[in-house]
Amino acid sequence: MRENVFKIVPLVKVSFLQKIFKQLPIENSVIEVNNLLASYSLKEISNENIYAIEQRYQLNLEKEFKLNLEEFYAVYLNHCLRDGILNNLDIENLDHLKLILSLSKDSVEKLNHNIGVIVYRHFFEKVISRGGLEKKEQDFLDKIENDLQLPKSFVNTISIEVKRNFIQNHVETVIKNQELSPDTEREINNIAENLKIDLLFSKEITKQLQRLRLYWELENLPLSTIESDIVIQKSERCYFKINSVK
Amino acid sequence: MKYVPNLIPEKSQVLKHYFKGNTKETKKTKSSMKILRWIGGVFFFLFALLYLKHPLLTILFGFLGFMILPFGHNWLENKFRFILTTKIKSVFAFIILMFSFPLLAHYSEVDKKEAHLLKIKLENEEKVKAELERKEKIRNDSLTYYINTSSKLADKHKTDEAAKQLKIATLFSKLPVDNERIVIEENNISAIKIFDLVKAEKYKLAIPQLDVLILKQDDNANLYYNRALCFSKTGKIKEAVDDCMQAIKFGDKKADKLYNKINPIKKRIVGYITRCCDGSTSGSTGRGTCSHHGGVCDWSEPVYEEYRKY
Repeated sequence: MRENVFKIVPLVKVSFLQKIFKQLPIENSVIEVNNLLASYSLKEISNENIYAIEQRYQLNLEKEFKLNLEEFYAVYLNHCLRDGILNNLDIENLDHLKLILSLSKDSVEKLNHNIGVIVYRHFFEKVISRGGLEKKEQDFLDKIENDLQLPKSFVNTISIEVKRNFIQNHVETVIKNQELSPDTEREINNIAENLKIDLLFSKEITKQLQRLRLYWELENLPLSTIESDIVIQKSERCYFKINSVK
Repeated sequence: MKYVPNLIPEKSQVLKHYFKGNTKETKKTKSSMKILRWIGGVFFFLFALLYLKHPLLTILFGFLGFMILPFGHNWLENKFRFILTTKIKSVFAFIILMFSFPLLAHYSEVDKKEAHLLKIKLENEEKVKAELERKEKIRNDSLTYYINTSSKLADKHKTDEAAKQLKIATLFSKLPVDNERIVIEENNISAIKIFDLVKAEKYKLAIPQLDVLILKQDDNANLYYNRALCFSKTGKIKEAVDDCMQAIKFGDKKADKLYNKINPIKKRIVGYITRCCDGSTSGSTGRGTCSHHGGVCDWSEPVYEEYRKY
């Protein structure tokens, strides 16, 4: 098995009464399947091996330990997608695994979807970490989407969510640094433009950005005069006005 | 659905929120089967309770009931880590029942014997009780007979014979209440004897006997009256008056008469007053005394006071 995705687990000891009644601990059936997966390459394991285990333990693995069988498949799928690419060998192995574990089409679809969402999100976050999405990267994401047959609606949701999170994190870093220069602001706008997403912040963040913008202007630009409500000397300029002063 | 955890190495685990559970998940059984199991389990539990007197049977039937109950079935499987199949359960139940039948027969025989012995014991107790009651009745009848005879003789003033009969009665006395009856009769005979002495005017002889009897019966008015009579006849008027007063206190009318006789009401002059002619009295002594009351009718009219000597 590839890079120890599975590990050999010791079998559960047979209890006294199990010895008397010549029974086997049923959990050992699934442990034996696990140990098969850990010991041999997938292609070497056949339906007969699984059937033999079922016969030995007098049970139907699919009925008794469906969750464990699904977990074997999910773990292997996740392992294949560690680089985001499903090659033909991976697809063949996954099909074979699906067959020997007798997984239903529904189960496989559900697992593909659940694992796919995680993998897609992971790679999407990785791809946009530089603040843009190039053609090559978009193609890579599309391939994952097609390989895992992810529904378009899910992909869109993940895409928007990840992009928003990325911009949100970027803006939060700016707020943390307490400096919002026009260059920084332009950079945020460029990221939004590259990611094709509208800049929508919460009231709190918008207020904080406005304050940082004002601070930068006060620090770097000449003070701007304002029109006064009262009559002032010819040589005087009004820079600040405040209401409700008694 | 059962799930064996921790098969996948930590770093390879995925969808942890989805892949969770344990190996002890219970099988889903049909509700009709469940109801049958409950009924069977409760049935054997009731059987076990029925045989609480024989712990071995209680344990056997209790275990059978526990094994049949869904809860007990699962507990046994989890505790002893094995599958309690219908076959195993049937064999167990068969063995227990096979073992129980001879035990049931044995205990049934034992119960019958015990019941028979208990019945005989109760019957014997009943017989003994009846015999005791019969003897007691005879004894009591004898006692009553002799006391009544004694009482009748005493009423006829045959006190010596009455005492003899009473002595015989004491032979049948057993209970405190019997002793009380005899003492009462003894006192009655003594009283009649003393009253005969008083009638025969043997007052001095009667007094010490009355003293003794009064000590025993301090609420008997007749005794006090008779002693008062004896005292009055022997000149001890003060003692006679005291006894009369005691007898009067207990409601004796003869004592009242005797009291008035031996301690009559007397009159004596305690002073003199001036009596006016209109019936009023005056405290003055000079001229003009009773001038507005028709004048003086008696200058020294005596004033009397009633008294008893004792």
